[in-house]
Amino acid sequence: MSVHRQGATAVARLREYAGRLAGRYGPSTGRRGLLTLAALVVLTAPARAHGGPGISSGNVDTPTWLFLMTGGGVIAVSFLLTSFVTDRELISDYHERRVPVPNGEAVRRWGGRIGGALGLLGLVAVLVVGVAGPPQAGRNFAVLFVWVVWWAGFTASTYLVGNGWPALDPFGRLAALLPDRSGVDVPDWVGRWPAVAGLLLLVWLEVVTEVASDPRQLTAVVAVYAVATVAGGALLGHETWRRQFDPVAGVFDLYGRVAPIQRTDDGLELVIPGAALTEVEAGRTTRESEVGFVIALLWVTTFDGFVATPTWQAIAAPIVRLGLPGELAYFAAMLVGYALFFGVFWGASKRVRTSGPTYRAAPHVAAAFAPALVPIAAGYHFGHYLPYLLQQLPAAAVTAAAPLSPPITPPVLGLPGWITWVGPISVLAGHLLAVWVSHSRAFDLFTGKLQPIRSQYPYVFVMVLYTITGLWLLAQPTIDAPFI
Amino acid sequence: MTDTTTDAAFDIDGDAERCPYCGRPFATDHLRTLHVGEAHGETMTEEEAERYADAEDQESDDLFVFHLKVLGALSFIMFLFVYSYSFVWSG
Ligand SMILES: [Zn+2]
Repeated sequence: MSVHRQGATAVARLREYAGRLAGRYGPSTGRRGLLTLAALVVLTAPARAHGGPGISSGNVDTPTWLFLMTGGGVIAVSFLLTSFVTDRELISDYHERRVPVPNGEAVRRWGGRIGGALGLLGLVAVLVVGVAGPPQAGRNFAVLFVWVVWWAGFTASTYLVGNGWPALDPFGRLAALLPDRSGVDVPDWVGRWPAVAGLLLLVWLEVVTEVASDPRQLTAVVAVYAVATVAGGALLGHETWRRQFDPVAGVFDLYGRVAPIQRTDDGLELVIPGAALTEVEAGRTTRESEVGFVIALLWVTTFDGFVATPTWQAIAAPIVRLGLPGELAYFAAMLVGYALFFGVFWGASKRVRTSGPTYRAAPHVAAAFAPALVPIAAGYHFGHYLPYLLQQLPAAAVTAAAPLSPPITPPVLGLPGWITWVGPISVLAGHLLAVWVSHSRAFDLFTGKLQPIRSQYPYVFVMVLYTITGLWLLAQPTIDAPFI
Repeated sequence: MTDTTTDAAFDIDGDAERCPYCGRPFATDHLRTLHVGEAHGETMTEEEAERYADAEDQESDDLFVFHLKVLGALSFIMFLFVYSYSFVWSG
């Protein structure tokens, strides 16, 4: 003990000296760290500019391995830098600094009325134009509305601004016309797994069918989803359906937690982006299924990119040659990949018990930290869909004016060269926010200063893996999804 | 916030050091002492307050050593990148 105390005083002296050298030792170090990080991102970014992965321009070429290593390195460095932010007050300020939006209640009331009308109008337009409009995807307003305006544009608004889906949702409004009987009791173990299954199913359908390009198939899926919502709401109760079965409402609910505008009991409030992620109700159903839904959201954004790579073609070719239908190969890949993502995250959550060390049970640890992954999914979504949104928006606007007799070739926007930067930068930005949210969550859950930092080792490892996977997908040449 | 301090949130193997106020289990005595100060600062005894002050000193010393290691790791990563990029871009 005395030997230790002596060592400690030596350390204290050294610290004082270092403190005098570096000015104040505390949160400001963290801020300086963030500046360094920004500088690092800017310095490493030219890796893309001079020739992205697989692309060489002039005589400067950055190989893919270095591109991936840079991404993983930025995550590791950002973790190391956040370890300097250990001021509990500063961290709890991040969560608790909230400003009520003036007249939030009125905004919500009117938003609900206008949004509700727009949502219903949109649904009717999709159902009518999907059937009666032209069969070409690029000219059909239903296709452009669903994929460009709704799935690219509206989804981006949920994590950038706030979740407006409860105001718009035409499906929920139709369901609300029927009385809420909730006659069927759903067993507890079901949790949120139906929504996980629904999300995986929807993305699988999007990949293996022509839903993305055939207006008739798209209309059929939208109609089936509407019928399922109405029937499910009437049979199971609206709240049970929305919370445990509806994949769409679940996705927007999670994305909305990243945003600066949050719903309160009777109004709206402004928060710092990502701060509301700690409010995700981890114990609402079962912890396993709540974690499962977050992982599903992360995995489907990855799956979308993965099936368009030559690597997938190489993996699937021998299986398809054996006689397995292509659609089933995709289904299997969807499940295997999901199990892999879930397993890696669950394994990391178990490791937290020894890296902390802590006695907290793995399901509780996993449920506490899973919401921190949502910004990663948002980053992928933004990087993937922003170019598509900008390109197709003029076509959506022109076909909206004359949905049944649109021009032969609706206008699309030519994109500037810098747009290739949006992908890697938003993927990295999503990961950086995830590292920070996870760090601040750890200080909420654990004791002292070192235990919260050490608890993050397994998650940082997982996030580096996810980053490398995501950047690797961006670096792959994109092909048409094969065998279907 | 979401997790309570009941045993349901914990999975305990062997002897846990428990907080005398809320019963929360800890893997080390050091962590328990810190917790008592952080969570029960107003009700703790004088002896516990002393132990907490010691534990806090210990914690910030350990944190300082940890941060030295972090600076080492950062320098290593920077070196690795500068080296890799200059190697790749010069060739
Ligand atoms: Zn206690």
